[in-house]
Amino acid sequence: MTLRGVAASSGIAVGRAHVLPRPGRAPRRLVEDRDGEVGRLRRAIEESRADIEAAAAQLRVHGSDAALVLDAQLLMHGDEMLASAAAREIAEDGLNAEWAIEQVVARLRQPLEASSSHYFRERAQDVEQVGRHIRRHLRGEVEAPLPDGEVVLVAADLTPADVARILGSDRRAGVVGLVTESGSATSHTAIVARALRVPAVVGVAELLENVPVGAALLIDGFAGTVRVDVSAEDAERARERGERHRTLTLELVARADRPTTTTDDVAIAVRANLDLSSEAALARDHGARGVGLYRTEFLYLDRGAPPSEDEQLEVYRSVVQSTRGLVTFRAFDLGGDKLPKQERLPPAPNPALGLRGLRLALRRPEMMRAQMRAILRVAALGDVRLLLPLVTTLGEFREALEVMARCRAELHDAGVEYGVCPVGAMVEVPSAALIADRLAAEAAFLSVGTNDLVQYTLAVDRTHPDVTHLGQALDPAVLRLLAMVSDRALATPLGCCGDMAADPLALPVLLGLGYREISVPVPALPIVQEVVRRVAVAELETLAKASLEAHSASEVRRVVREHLGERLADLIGP
Amino acid sequence: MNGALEPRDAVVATFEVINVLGLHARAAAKLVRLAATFESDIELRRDGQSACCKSVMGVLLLCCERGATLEVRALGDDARSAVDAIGALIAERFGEAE
Repeated sequence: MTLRGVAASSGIAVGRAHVLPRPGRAPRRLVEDRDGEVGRLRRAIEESRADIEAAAAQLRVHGSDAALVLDAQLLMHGDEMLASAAAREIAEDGLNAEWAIEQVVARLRQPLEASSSHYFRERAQDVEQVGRHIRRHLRGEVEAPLPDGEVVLVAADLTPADVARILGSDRRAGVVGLVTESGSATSHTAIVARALRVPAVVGVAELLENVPVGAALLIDGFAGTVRVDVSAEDAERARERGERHRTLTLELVARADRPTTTTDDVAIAVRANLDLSSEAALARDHGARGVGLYRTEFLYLDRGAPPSEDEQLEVYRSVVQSTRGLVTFRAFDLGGDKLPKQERLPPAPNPALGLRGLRLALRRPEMMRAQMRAILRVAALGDVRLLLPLVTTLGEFREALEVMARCRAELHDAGVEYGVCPVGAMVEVPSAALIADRLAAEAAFLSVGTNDLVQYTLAVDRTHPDVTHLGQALDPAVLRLLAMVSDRALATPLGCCGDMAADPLALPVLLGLGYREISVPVPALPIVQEVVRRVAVAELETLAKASLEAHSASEVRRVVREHLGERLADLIGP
Repeated sequence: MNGALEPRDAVVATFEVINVLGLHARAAAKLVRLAATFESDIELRRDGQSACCKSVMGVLLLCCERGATLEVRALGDDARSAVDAIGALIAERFGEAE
């Protein structure tokens, strides 16, 4: 059986399923030895605190902002109000520690949930998670050793603390992968798994119902799939594939400093897509010549208020300082339902066609200005560009340029240091591709986001299992749009930052169509750089022309394989 | 802990919370750490609710946003210096940059 989810952290993992049960209600029972029960409670709190402390330390090492969440939880563990109140419940009523802690947590949550401040309402979740952690220690679940050998953690939900705690412990070596029911590629669990470099698939529906304890699991963190009860042979093959990929990547990273020039001497800028500021150093060490796409929306997720200008400046500064080459900041690309709580809009019936990206930013001028000012200020420190998401019309692009000009004037008048920051447009809606000449005349650069361009061109919902097969980046319809953008961009720098660029069979077509700036996720950098070094633009131009005349995506794929399959065999994989 | 400190013996002062986030988790932690350095019993009151100033959870549960008025009452030998020190910490926005 194969379960589908969202690829959250790349890599292949094979291991036995270690299933964490869904958190239920605490059992309620009478205890004989009340003092002993209080002692059990104190020990559990102490163990839980030590656990979270270790988790926070892990996250700090990896530079994740998630560590801040844990600070509040740590303080609560040390608090006598929690411990004493629960101890009193036990001593007075003779009830078990699990029940006592749940009662106390419920009481503590109430005033926080009733607060008019978003900040304090969010802390109610912290209290809840603290209770959950302590209860887990009371059940001795954490002490239950992970099974021997390689283990895949399977859970309904993992908090960042859970992930960091498990992967930060001495049992870390045995945990080879993570699968969760909840979450998306942008959830904190996914971010933490990536930071710790463990393959992960999230958002798998009915996961716990379909995965028995101890089942042999194969996680494909590239494709976002989980195979249950995989045969020993298949597991072995996958392991080998994962191993080959790892070895090849290591070899290539060791020689990452070689220029990314084609065999006919055309320089291609290969840059990195980043989600987290902490990935910047890794991208540099993988030979990235700058950042082609820094997704700033992660700064806005899971919080009450949008990040302030100064907070953003700090994060952006660290990215610029850890990067060799220019940094492209993409303005926050969020749907209304993903905004910080204070700004949140109800879910729209058709979010892909609704208020998102630049449309949303223009409706939230304060948020937009805070970000633009932070980016202008960081531009004083390095080579920085701003990329606007989901541009649909020339008018809205101009409107954003005006806001940018006003921010510049404000900084100037206030005597605040700022730098030059070219503004570019993302081409990810067919309308933007069709007016690429108009956009190119006013934008400093264009960057094609193929994921959305595919979705909008082929009218395919990427999350709908019955239509995803139609959503092929190599579909001739998409390729013709890409060719149109390239023809009309003229001298304006043109790049691609979608998944398509990271596909070794699709990349040659992009290069043949005239794309010279490529930006891919950090794990894909080594292979993409190597593809570039082995091809000649002249041959790819012929290949691209043939692709435009093909009748299907699979025909394009076949043509590319025929031409380049042998030369790229070790890079393409099976 | 409610109303534990008799008014006539206690040193009492009121302060306005002026930092942006109010008495958030880390500000509460600073306040509690400071309070713990004094022998006196210290209590915080806000809108009829009170909390022990030496418990992070208690302080957090007062849900003091910016603009909230907080009454600090201390009872003990070093009550005066405790109230002064707490007032100073609140006034300097818990040392946060804004």
